[in-house]
Amino acid sequence: VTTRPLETDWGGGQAPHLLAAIVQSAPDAMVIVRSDGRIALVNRQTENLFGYAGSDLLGQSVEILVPERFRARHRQHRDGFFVDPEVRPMDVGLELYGLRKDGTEFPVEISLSPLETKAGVLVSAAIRDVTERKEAEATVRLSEERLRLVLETVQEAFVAIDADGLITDWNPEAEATFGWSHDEALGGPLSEMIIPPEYRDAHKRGLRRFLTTGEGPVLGKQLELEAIHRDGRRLPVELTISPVRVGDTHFFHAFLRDVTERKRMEAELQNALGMERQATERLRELDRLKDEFLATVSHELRTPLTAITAFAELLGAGEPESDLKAELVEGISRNASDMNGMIEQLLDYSRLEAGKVALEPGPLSLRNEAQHCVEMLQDVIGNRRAAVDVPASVEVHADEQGFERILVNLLTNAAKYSPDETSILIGARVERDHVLVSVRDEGIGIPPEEHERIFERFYQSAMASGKRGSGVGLSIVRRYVELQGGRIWVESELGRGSTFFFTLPVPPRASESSG
Amino acid sequence: MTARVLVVDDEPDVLLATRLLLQNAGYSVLEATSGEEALGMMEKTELDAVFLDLRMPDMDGLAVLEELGARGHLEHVPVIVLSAHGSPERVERSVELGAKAYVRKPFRKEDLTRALDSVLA
Repeated sequence: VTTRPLETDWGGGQAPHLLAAIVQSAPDAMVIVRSDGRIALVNRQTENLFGYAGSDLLGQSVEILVPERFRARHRQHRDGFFVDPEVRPMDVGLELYGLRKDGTEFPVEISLSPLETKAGVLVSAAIRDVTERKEAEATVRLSEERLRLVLETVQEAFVAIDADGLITDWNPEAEATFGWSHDEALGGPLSEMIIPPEYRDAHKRGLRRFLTTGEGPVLGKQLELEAIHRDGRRLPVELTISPVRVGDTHFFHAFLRDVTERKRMEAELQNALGMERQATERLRELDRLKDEFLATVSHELRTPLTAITAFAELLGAGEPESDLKAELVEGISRNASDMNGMIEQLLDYSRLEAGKVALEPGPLSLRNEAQHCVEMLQDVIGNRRAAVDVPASVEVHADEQGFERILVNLLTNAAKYSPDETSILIGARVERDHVLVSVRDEGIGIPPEEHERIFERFYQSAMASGKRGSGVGLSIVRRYVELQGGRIWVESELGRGSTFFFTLPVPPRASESSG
Repeated sequence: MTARVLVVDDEPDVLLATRLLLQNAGYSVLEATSGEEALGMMEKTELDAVFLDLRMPDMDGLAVLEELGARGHLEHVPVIVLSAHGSPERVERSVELGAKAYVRKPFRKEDLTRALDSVLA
C-alpha cells in the first residue's frame, strides 16, 4: 500500500504529519473543517464516498457536501458547534444526507469532535454511509408494518403473553371476541381476563412446567377450550398456542377463534338429524305395527270363524248327542258375537281415521250411562265386582254413542287384564269446567314406559300377550275423548292395577244451552 | 290301528273344533293348550302326527318347532302347522324349521284329513 501525500489546505503551515496519517487510516470518511467552515483535510474514503478528488474539496465550504435544502440550517449548526465544541453525534434523531459530486444523495451518520490546533479549533467529522442500514431498517419496518396489518385484519383473535402470563399482544379481533380493549388487555394477566376460574390453576401450572422443563403437551396443537368474555359469558374457542423465544425471553402466541356459532350449527344439525332419525324410526315402527295389525286382525277374525265353520260342519254332518249339540250351537253364537265385536271396533277405527264420525254432544247423566255400559258387558266382566261410584247429579257434555265407546273399551280392557273376583270401579269428580272420570282395576298393570304408547294405534302392550284384541282399542278411546274436548291418561302399578282417567266437559249452563 | 294325533292350540273353541273334526274322521286325539304342555306330552307319548297352532302366547309354534328340531323329534313325528294366515312369512319359517304341511284357518274336516294323509303316507 502506498500512501500518497495528503491534500491539505491547512490555512497556513503544514498539517501535522501524525494527524494526517490518522485521518487517512480512519475507516470512515473523515472531513476536517476549519472554524470558517472551509474544508482543511479529507481522506481517501471521503473522496470515494462523495466522488470528488481531494483537491476539489480543500478550501471549499463544507456545505458542498450537504444537499442544498439543508445548507442554511447546517451553517447555523456549524457555527453553534464552534461556540460549544464537544464530541457528539450530529443531530440525533434527524435524517442526515450527504451530496455527491454527481448530485445524488445518500443517508449518512456523522460524528463530530473538536480538534485544538495551533491554527485554532478545527472540527473533525467522521461520516458513514448508512444506505444499507437504512434499507435494512426500512425492510424491517415494512415487514413489521405488514405483520401488524395482518394481525389487525385477521379474522382470528391474536393474543400473546410473556413468561409471566402477562398480555403483550391483543389484536382487534381479540377485542371483539373477549370484550377487553387493546389498552385494557395489555400488561394484564391472561388468566384473569379470558380463562374461566376453574382452569386458571392449570394454565399457571402449564406455563411453569414449560418454563422449567420445556415440556408443553398442549403447545402447537389445535385445542378446543372454554374462554370467558368480559361480561362473564362462556364461549367455546378453538386455538393453537406456539411458544416463541427471543433471546432468553419466552413468549407464547395464540390464535383463537370463537366457535360458538359453529357449535350452535353443529348442535342444530345434530338435532335435525336426530329428529329425522326419530321420524324415520317412527315411520318404520308404524309400518311394522300396521303389518302386525293386519296379522292380528286376520288372526282375531279367523279364530272365531274357525270355530264357527267347524261347529257348523259337525252339526250338519251327523247326529251329535244333545249335550254336544247345545254346546256347538252356543259356541257358534259366542264366536259370532266375538267376531261382531271385532268388526265393530275395526269399523269404528276406520270411521274415526276417515273423520266420518259425527258426534252430537248433549247433557248425559254420567251415572246412568256408566251403569248401562256395565250391564251391557256382564258377560265380559264375569264374576269381577264392577261398581259405579258417581253422584246422580254429575252430567257430562258428550255424545251418547261416543261416550259408550269410551267406557265399553275401558271396561273391556279392565276385565280382560284382571283376575277373577277382583274389583272394577268407575268414579267421577267435577273439576271446574270438566268432569274427571276414572276406571280403576286390580289387574296386571302397565309398565311406565308403555303409559303413553298404549294409546297409539296398532300398539299392543307386552302385557297383552295371549289376549285377544286388535291393538286399536285404546287409540279409538283416545280419539273419542279428544273429539269431545277431553284428555286421557293412565296411572298404573305393575301387579297392582291400572286407573284410566279421562275428562269430558260439563254441559254448558242452561241459559246458554237453551239459547 | 287308529292313528294318534296331538292338537296344540291356545284357543279353547278352536281346540274343541279340531278335536271333534278329527275324532269324527276316526282319529284318536290328544290336546295341549300351550307349547310347553305339548313338548311335555311328546316326551311321554307315542304320536303319529301333531297339529300345531303358530300363534300362541309365551311359547309360540315356531319356538315349539325349534325345540322339537333340537330334540330330534321332527324325524319321527310329522308336524302340521295351523295358521290363520296373518303372516305368510311365519308359515314359510315353520316349513324351514321342519313342518311337513300346513292347514289354513278356517278349515273343514277334509282339510285336516288330507294333510294327515299326506304326512302319514
